[in-house]
Amino acid sequence: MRVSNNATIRRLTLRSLKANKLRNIVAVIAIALTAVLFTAIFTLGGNMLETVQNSTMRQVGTSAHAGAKLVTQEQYDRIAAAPSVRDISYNIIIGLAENDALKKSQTELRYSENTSAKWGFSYPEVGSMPQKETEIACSTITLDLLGIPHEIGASVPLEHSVNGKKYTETFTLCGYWTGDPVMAAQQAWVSREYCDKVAPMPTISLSQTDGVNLAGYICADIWFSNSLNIEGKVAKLQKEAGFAPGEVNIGVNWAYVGNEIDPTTAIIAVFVLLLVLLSGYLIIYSIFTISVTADIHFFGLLKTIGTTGLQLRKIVAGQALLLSAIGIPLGLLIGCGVGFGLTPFILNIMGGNLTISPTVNPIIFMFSAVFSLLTVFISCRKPARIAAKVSPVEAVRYADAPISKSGKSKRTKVVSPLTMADANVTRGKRKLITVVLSLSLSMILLNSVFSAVNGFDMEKYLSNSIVSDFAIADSSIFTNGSAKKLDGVTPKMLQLLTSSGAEISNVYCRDVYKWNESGTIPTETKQIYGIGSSELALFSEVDYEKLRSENVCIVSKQVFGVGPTVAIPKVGDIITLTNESGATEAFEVVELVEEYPYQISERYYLGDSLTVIISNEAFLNLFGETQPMQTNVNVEDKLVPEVEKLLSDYAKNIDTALGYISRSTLMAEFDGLRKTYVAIGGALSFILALIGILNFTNSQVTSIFARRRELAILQSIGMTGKQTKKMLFCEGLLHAILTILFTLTVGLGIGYLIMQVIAGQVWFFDSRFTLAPSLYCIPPLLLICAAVPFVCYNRLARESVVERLRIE
Amino acid sequence: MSVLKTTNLKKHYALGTVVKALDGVDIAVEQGEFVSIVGSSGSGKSTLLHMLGGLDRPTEGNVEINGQIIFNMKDDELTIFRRRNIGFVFQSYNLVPVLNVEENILLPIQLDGNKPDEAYIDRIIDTLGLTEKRKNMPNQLSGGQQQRVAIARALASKPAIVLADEPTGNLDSKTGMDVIGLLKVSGEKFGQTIIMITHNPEIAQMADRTIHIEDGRIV
Amino acid sequence: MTGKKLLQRLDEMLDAALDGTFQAQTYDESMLSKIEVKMARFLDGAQLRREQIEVEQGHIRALISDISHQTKTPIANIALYSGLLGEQDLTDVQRNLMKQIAGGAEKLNFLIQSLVKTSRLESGIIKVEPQLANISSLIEAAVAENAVKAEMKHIALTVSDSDAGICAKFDPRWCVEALSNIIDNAIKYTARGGKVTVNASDYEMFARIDVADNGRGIKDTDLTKIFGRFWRAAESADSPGVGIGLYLAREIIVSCGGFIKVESKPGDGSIFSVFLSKV
Repeated sequence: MRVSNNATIRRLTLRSLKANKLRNIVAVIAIALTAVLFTAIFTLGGNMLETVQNSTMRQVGTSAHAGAKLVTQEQYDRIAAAPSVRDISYNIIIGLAENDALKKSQTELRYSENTSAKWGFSYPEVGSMPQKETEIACSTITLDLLGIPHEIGASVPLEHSVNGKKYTETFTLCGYWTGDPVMAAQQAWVSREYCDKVAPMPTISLSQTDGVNLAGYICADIWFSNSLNIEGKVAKLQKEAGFAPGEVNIGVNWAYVGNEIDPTTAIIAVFVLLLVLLSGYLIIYSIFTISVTADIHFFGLLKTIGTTGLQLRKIVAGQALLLSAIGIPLGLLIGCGVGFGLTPFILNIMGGNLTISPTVNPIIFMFSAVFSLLTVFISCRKPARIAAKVSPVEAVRYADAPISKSGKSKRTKVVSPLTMADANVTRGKRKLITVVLSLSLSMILLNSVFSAVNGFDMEKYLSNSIVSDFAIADSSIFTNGSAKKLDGVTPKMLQLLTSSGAEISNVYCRDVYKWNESGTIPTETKQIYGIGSSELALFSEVDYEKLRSENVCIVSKQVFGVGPTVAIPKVGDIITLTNESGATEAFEVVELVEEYPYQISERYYLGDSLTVIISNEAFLNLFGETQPMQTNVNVEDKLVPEVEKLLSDYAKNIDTALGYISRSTLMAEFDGLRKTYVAIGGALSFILALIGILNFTNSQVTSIFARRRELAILQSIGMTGKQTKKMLFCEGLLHAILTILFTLTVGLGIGYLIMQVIAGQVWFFDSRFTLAPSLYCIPPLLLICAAVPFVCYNRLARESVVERLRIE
Repeated sequence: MSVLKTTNLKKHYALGTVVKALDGVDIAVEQGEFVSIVGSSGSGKSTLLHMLGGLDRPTEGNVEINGQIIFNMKDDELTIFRRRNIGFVFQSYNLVPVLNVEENILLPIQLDGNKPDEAYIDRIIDTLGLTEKRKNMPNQLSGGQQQRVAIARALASKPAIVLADEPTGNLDSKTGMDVIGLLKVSGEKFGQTIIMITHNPEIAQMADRTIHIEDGRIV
Repeated sequence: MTGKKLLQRLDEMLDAALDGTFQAQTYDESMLSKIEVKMARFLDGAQLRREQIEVEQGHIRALISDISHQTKTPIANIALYSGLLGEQDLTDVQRNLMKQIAGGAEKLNFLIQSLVKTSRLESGIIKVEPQLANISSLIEAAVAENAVKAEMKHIALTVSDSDAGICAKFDPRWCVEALSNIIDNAIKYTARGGKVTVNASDYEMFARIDVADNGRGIKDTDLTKIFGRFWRAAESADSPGVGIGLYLAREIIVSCGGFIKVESKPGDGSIFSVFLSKV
């Protein structure tokens, strides 16, 4: 049972807070800056996660937590009735569009409820979902491929088959949306009426059929109460709906399963959070220590008249809390802005076809606020203890001579402004350490960032993406997605290139499937490449002449797939390759390589497929005259701009499907990447530097202010203003020098180690440490450290010595 | 019965050589007494007062207030004991600068979570001539007025003892007389036991009894 | 009743007890009710004892009053008849004896008078009623009362004129008595041809009246004792007086919200300072 004196403590907290205006401003700025850093980082991180998740959803084709694939109406009803399902919607599969123009991009014909279409990112932006039997809604990608204008009412001819019966229909366009190339398949929505007509809903569970005819089955999109442990929730749902094992396939949306954040990013995130925490700690700790020390008389007085240590602690903590109440929201707002400003940069680093979807998430604010508050509380624990431990006698001491704590007397030195400055600076060791650390942090970070960026090896970066000056292929080759066009380089293009004096080399490619008797399951898949001599030299010792003339092949040992279903042949084995029309040719394996170079591949891995490499000539011989998948182009240096222009014009005006990458665009990309790191690292360093300078300024200003009587005494006994200034100047300089020494020794050592850990994970990183950024920081640091005490003293000197002497 | 009693109170500081600030002090103060302790600077009188108020711990010996041995208590216990049993008046007033006169006076009571006895507080404020200054802040008051607030604060919680440490040290002699007069009058009026340290013999004469201390011993 | 409420109630009960307004409030089966009743009983007991003490003190005061009243006539008679006796033709020896009787009677009379005043003051039968007034009237009256005594002893009793316009709170009747006693005391302990000066000065909170003499002074060790009832310094056995004047003076001044301070140097004289509160 306690006596209720909280109101009194609250009043003391509030009043003493009001009396400390300058300290409050500095503390609010410090807390706000800390909150800015946290919010910026959390916003960045949150947006990154969100964007990755979002793009995964688009690849999957829905934002729903889980999906039940191919179920009957009865099964669907059982799922919908399950208690763990929060929301559910469905669509019905009819089949694939079979128009030749749509072969490149899988287009699925379905009926869908409005919600299911919305969750699937395929809801008409213009027009509406189909109502009448002949209406259809599809994406602009589908329309473009069919050569149909984006107009409501346009005719859409479509071929498809249901259970072996072929339909050729002409629909009327009732709605369309901007197609997303990332999605695995494009949707074409038709009405329920049409759906029921061509694909009546089966009543037998798919698991009891041979699984060939899928038309008419329902695909359900399921939402649970939250996205935690969806796998567990799916298992629970199976039980709730009472399905036998294997009866119904309910799949988890893997956008929600484990995030795409790799260990590098995680390490960076933790490191940066700790850095911010430390930097926030250093300044807030320093501010509160200084203010508690300045108010020690006040605390001692309170203790004398009966305020307990706990109550004094409450006063300090209460002040911190009140200041946080202003500083943190302020920091949250600014930090949110900074975070959004930096998000595009960071997504740039992550690469991929990510579009930014910045959102203001309350959780981000919550996290930032919690971390900022945590920093504040950690920081003011010690100062609060100092206040709590104050000895009433020390604090109310007046007439009596102060009892010196240390018995040892220092040796008499020659007194000069420098030795006095030294004595002054070192008498507050803890404060000195805090300020020096605080100032060093930004320098260390800046140096590490620049060292890391400096270590990015452009050659490594380039060689991993391109093996020639230019690479030309269908644009699908250079982007993510499964629909690759493997014969995209037209003869016209090739002719244009040769006539411009370029040296070209072709890569051909075919994906070969062998199906089982019913034609549903591939039994054997192969990726076959036909390459030229310059490509061969990239990864093999085999003589190209041998490859060309002797019916031999090279096999890559790299196989992607669920399990080792493909037997890797041995050298000397014979491999039989089959073309589209069934003709075969046997090749002897002469070499097994670790992997086929990514830069000349179709950038897509077929599951469980064997990669077989033969010569251009053998390839054309087997598959007949065909267009290359990719053409590698080398030109003389002076011709580079010319060819670049030629390609860009061609891709823009003549063949929009043509894609190309060039050394120069990759160099620009690399440059962008570097700039990104510099921008983010620089921004963080800048805010850290602000915190450091604020910390230094606060410590100097308060120290000079607290010593104004002491300084006046010195002046009254004959120290000139000039000497005083020199002493203060030396004090500031000592901070700067200690900061520089610390940064250049311990700081950069630690910075180097951390950089190795983090940047070492970047594949194009090559350790190249530099001191230059730190060295560049030295002049401004010296300037600031010298100027602050100077300006401060000038302000002080406006009061006369006598006035200052009168201060108690 | 003695309100306050010390037994063989000693305080030694080790500063290279041992400095005996107090060297075995035995005093006893009766309820309602106004006692002054006089001694020259460095005689140990301030140290003695700090011990009596539980502000500092002795090297040896103990202080008994209302029959309770105070140095057996822990720091926070001692602080709470102090705010319930001891009122302080200091040379430098030591008012809380952010609180007004009335709030300063009520602070020790409120720190203890009690409702102030309004009539009693009004009488104190009236006796000390502070009625018109109730809402003023300390920095708007003269030294003598501030010290009067400090006395009011010391009396407000009806402590067992009021300890005054050189209460007139910062005041001119006339104001000093005024303040001590009020201390004496209010002590008498409210039945308070007062122990006052001073080096001013004229001020010391106002007390009922004077204790002389020299080199840490009663003489 | 929760623990917190219970403790709050106990706190209230104690506050009421301190004010003397405590009464049992609840009468039920609860422990609290039991405690309340016991506490009321305890407080009643304490009250009873206090009242008993007061009654006893009253008896003592009545006794003193009775004694003084009953002795008045005999003492007056002794004074009267010894006066009459003095008018007769007496031998030197007889006259001397008669003077002793008259002196004793006078001393006894003064003692009884003072005792009565003290007793009345202490018992509250007489209430001091301080009111704000100019202190010069107070000084004039007290000095006038002692003018004859001073003249007889050839002591210069002077009032410095610095007291114009100083106001303080005092009871005119009783404070004249108090100040008069102090001046009387100063005259008593000052040798023939000495000096007694009355001086007033103004403070923020007090008005101060100093009575300074150049008499024999008071020893340091006696300073705090002189205001004790019937206390007389060993050296002053030969002077007239019973040692109750200063005691009475202090009682009066303190009752008016003031105090008396003494400063003295043996051989050089004393200063008695009366501080009268202004608020």
